[in-house]
Amino acid sequence: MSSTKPMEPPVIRFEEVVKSFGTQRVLDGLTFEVRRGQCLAIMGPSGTGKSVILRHAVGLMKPDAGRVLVEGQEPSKLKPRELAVLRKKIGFLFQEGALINWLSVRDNVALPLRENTRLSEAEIAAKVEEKLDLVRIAKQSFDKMPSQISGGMKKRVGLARALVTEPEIVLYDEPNAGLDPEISASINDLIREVQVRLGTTSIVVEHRVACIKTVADEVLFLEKGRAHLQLPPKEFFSSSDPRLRQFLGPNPD
Amino acid sequence: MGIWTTISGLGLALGLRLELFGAVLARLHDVPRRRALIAQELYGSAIQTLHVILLVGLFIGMIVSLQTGIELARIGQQDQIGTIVAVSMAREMGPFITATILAATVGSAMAAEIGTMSVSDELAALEVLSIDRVKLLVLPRVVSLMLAAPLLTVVCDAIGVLGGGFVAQSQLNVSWQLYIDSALEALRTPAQFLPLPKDVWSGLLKSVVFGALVAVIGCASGLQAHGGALGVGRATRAAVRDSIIAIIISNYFMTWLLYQS
Repeated sequence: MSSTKPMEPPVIRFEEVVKSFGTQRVLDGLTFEVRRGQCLAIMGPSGTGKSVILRHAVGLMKPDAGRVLVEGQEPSKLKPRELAVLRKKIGFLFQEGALINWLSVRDNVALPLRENTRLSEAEIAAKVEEKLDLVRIAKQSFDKMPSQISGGMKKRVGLARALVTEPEIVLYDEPNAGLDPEISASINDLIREVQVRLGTTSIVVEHRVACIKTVADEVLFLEKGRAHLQLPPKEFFSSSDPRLRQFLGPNPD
Repeated sequence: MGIWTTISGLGLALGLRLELFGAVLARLHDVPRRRALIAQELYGSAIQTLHVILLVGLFIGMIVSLQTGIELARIGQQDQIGTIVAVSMAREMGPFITATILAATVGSAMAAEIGTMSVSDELAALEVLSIDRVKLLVLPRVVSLMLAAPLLTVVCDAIGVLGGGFVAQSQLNVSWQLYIDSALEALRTPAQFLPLPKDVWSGLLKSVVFGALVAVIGCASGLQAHGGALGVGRATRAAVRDSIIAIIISNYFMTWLLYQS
């Protein structure tokens, strides 16, 4: 993917962000930015704070030091109402989908619209159907409960819920975790399709090379809580950086 | 250091529960919009614990009747069994037993359900979606238990009095008619501002408070859960323990307010 837009201003910016849990420093002066319309993939060893980055971007966590800026605002310093307004611009796909287990597929996707808008039930139903179609969920699954659908479907429904409010930014936390290669490929195509069709800015935390090659405009390699390398996928995977080569192993695909 | 840590921990837990209760009160205007969820929770809490209330209430009434009946029979006062069973069920045993059963069944389930949502990122998802989790998760549960507790208390009171009557008649040679008459007479103490006898409405008032306590503590424990299945287990245990402590302490103060003054 080479559709990076260097002229676009940064939508998400981390400036020297530090975050510790107990005595373990997970982020240690992390600096990077994501420009409007760009898809940044974040890669790195387990426990280096990849998911922590996403949680900072939506204000679920506060940095110990440094600044996180999203659309020019610091989520951790916003008042609840201001944070709610900012969060309406962000969609978040959690690792397991994080569907509400007592609501059907349809009601899960409708939930943010029912709770936060004054749309009629007919308007909500139309939007829900549109987004479930986009993520290729068959109509006969609309009334199933989360416990009745597969892991891949849960992620697709989670993505439909993240997209139903038409966010400008979408954050993906390991969208391929626990999925077989075929379903992973369909999720990757979906992420790319969402980005192209809706023009979203995205961060994808992912380990799988195939996913990154499909969706990313740039790849950031995280090492010891810092940005070790940030390059477009082609240059990234052909880089001779010894730490990256050690991480990717002899057969990165 | 250990004592201060414990005290500060208790203070924090109490503060969080009070804060949650305040948040529920501030959102009471949303009750009509949540009526479907409230009805669903009410069904879950009332119907699904009814058989336990019936069984435990029956035996509590029988125990009270037997224990007091044996002593009263020694002084030839067994005619008063109906009075004692009816008053003790309506004032104390009914609300207390019902609340304890609700804490062990419904309160623990609330903590487990919300705790599981917490450790599986469902609560984080609600937060990211800017969905008010107090309105969605806590308010329906608190309101439903504030309705279920007095309804179940009435059932517990009634079955307890019936159980007491069965023991009085079969083991203490008190006629059914005499037992029922003395029980009803005891509950006729007029109230100043309500059509119900004081012993009945004071018991129902207690049960409403107990219902709110059990639900708020159950939900708060669930919301604070972290650390996977172990965390859910800890939250469930804390919910039951803290609910029973809160029921007993608040029971003393309500009894003092309602009867001593």
